[in-house]
Amino acid sequence: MSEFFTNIKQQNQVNIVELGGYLDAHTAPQLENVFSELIKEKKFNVVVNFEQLSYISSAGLGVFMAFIETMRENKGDIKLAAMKPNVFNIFDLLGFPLLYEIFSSENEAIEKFIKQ
Amino acid sequence: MSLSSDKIIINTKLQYLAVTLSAWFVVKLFYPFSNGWLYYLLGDLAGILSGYIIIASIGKFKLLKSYTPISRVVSIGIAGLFLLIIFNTYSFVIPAQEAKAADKSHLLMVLDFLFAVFALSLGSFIIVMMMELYHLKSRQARRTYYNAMLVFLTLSCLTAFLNRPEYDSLKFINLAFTVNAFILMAFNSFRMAWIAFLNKTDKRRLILFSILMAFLFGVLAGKLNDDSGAVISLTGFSYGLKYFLMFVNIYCLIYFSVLFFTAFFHLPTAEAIDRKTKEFSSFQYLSKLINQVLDFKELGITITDLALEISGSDAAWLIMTNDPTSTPVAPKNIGYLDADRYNKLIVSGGWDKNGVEMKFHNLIKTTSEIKPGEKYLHAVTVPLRSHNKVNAVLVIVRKANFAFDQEDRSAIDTFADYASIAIENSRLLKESIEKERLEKELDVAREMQRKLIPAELPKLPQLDISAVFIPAFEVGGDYYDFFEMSNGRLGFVVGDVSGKGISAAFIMAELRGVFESLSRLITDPREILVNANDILRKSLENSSFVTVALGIYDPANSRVNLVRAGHTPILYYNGEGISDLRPGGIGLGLNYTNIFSNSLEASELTVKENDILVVFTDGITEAKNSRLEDFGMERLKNIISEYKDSSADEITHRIINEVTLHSESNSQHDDITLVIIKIKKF
Repeated sequence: MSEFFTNIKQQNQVNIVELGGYLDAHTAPQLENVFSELIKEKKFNVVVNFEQLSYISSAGLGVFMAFIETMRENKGDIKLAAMKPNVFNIFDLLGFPLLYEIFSSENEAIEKFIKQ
Repeated sequence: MSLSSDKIIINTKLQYLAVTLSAWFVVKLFYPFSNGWLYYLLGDLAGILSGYIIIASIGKFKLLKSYTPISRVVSIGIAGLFLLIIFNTYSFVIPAQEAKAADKSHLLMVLDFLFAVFALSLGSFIIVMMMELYHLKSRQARRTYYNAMLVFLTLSCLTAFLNRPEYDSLKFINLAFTVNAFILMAFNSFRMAWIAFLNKTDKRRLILFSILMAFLFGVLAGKLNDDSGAVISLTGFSYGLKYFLMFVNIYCLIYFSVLFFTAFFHLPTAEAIDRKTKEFSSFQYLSKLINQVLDFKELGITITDLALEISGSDAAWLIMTNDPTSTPVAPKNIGYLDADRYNKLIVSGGWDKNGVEMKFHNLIKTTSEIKPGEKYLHAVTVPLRSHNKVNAVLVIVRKANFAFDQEDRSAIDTFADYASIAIENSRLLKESIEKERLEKELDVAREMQRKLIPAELPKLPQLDISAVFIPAFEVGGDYYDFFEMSNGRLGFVVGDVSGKGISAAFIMAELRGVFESLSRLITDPREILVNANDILRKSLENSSFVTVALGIYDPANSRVNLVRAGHTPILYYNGEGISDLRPGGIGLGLNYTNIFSNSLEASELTVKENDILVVFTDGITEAKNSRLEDFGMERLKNIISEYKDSSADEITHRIINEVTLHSESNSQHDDITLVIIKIKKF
């Protein structure tokens, strides 16, 4: 099982969170910490890059739900990008595309922020 | 031995005593002027036998065993005082001339006898008490010396009559016994190991008592040798008794004199012994505590408390190493603020709280701003470790200006070992309690879930229904239900609450109630979901959601109306092929605006004979094998098409079988729910 990891970088006022491995009930707290830290630093424009993420459970989905409101209230957003088909399928089944902006690549997501 | 049998023995003893005493009485009273060795011997024998029976009877009173050494000494003193009193009273009432008179009145003779019995009893009592003192803390083998002394004492008493003027030539026999008795007496007077076990106050008391008693028995011994009425009466009555009392007095005189000096010389070391004893009992207490304490706070207080006793210091407290602020825990004899200040002083001296070595700190120079009488001059920091990790640090401080010495160091070291184990145990216990609590919670959640699942499947002539639910080890949030609606319609729902454990079980319970009641009021499945979403808003956390597949079957027109809120697609076999039904819909709890209601679509089917609907949760499609491959939708579809002609139960059985085989080498990590509805011929 590939180890879960997060990686944060910044590009044009947009904070990019790269995810990898398995995001489930055990690893979700790590991602929660990342988001809490971003909010503390008043960084509300977030793109999550799913490129290396191989699995997400309902607990993992819950993390995005828990933080998106705070981001949006502060005129920011969490945009999702570069999901593998199986990961996208889970988001899609749940109806996330209606609530979150999902892009096929990280750059598209960043551009969307810049345009705003 | 039971109490009643004890009583019987004492009663028989009393009978014997009565017999021997009356024998003595008769011999002495009715043949007062007979002479001859047999007469003397018989008289003394009766007296000695009485004395023995008295001694044995006193020994039977078990109460005596709980006496402390000091109380034994005191009771000997009291007996001695009584002896002195009856001696003086007798001599006062009956002067020497009267006692000497050859023709005694009968009254006087009875008085003599009573006097003798009293004296004998008191003497015997003293002997018993001395024996108790002698045996205290001494080894079994040493009893021989005491018994030997008693034997010689008896022999000497029995032959005492040889000291009468008429047996002058045989005097030496008695002398031999007497000398032996004295030698053993002197020897036995050094048996006082018990002194070492007394504390300082008791030793001080003992010095006072022993000098008083030595004096008392000295006086008594002196009294036995003058020519008072009492002594004349006693001698006239029985030489043996006089000798007995003399032995008792001299033995006590020697013993208490020796005791006085011994206690006196023990006094300087008393304090050190007291401290060692305290140390020892503290260790004992702590080792008991190791297995008892549940509460860490309580344990902390006990540790600091005992640390003070052991090290003879003024204040102590604990620091937990995982506490970044190093707040003092369980401070003893010191306030939190003061303890905190000393913590900082010690740290400023370059001390690392994670260090594994005991450290001594001299605070004389660093505490200049505190009043001289109140400041602590010396401190020691003791790491309490387990598995080489320091869990806590014990800080002990001292006001007096003498540093902790080697003695303190080893005592504290040993203490620290015990304290470390106690702390570790308390931590492990806390962990296991927490684990047990979680397991209990899981049990409750499982039980709730089990009760939420319908016990029976609905029976409709048109439908062949099968349902199965397999909970995962960690309770997931799956649930299914059926509800009968107006006009013979049947509603069915399969749901999956995100999250696990008791909170998921509560949401499930609420969901069940919500669907149960909404299905009675509303017939449109979309509307049911919109309402359910609104109701759940109050109870769902913002990171939780629920996916649901809901269908309503109307037998009147063979229609099935299906909605889906974020749930896994529903599979539908229509006689030709299998399709995923995936009407749009966001999961419950993700959004509470009209985005939710707008997202909801409905699939309407008209079903016919042999059509199959398969509603399930992702526990089936996401079941993983050892290579972490999902069971997947394709495998599921294949099984359905293979067994499309079988009963609903059979299809269910096949699916579960395959899923189990697939995930055989991998534990089931999510609940599995499967509901199959097959349309029957009608």
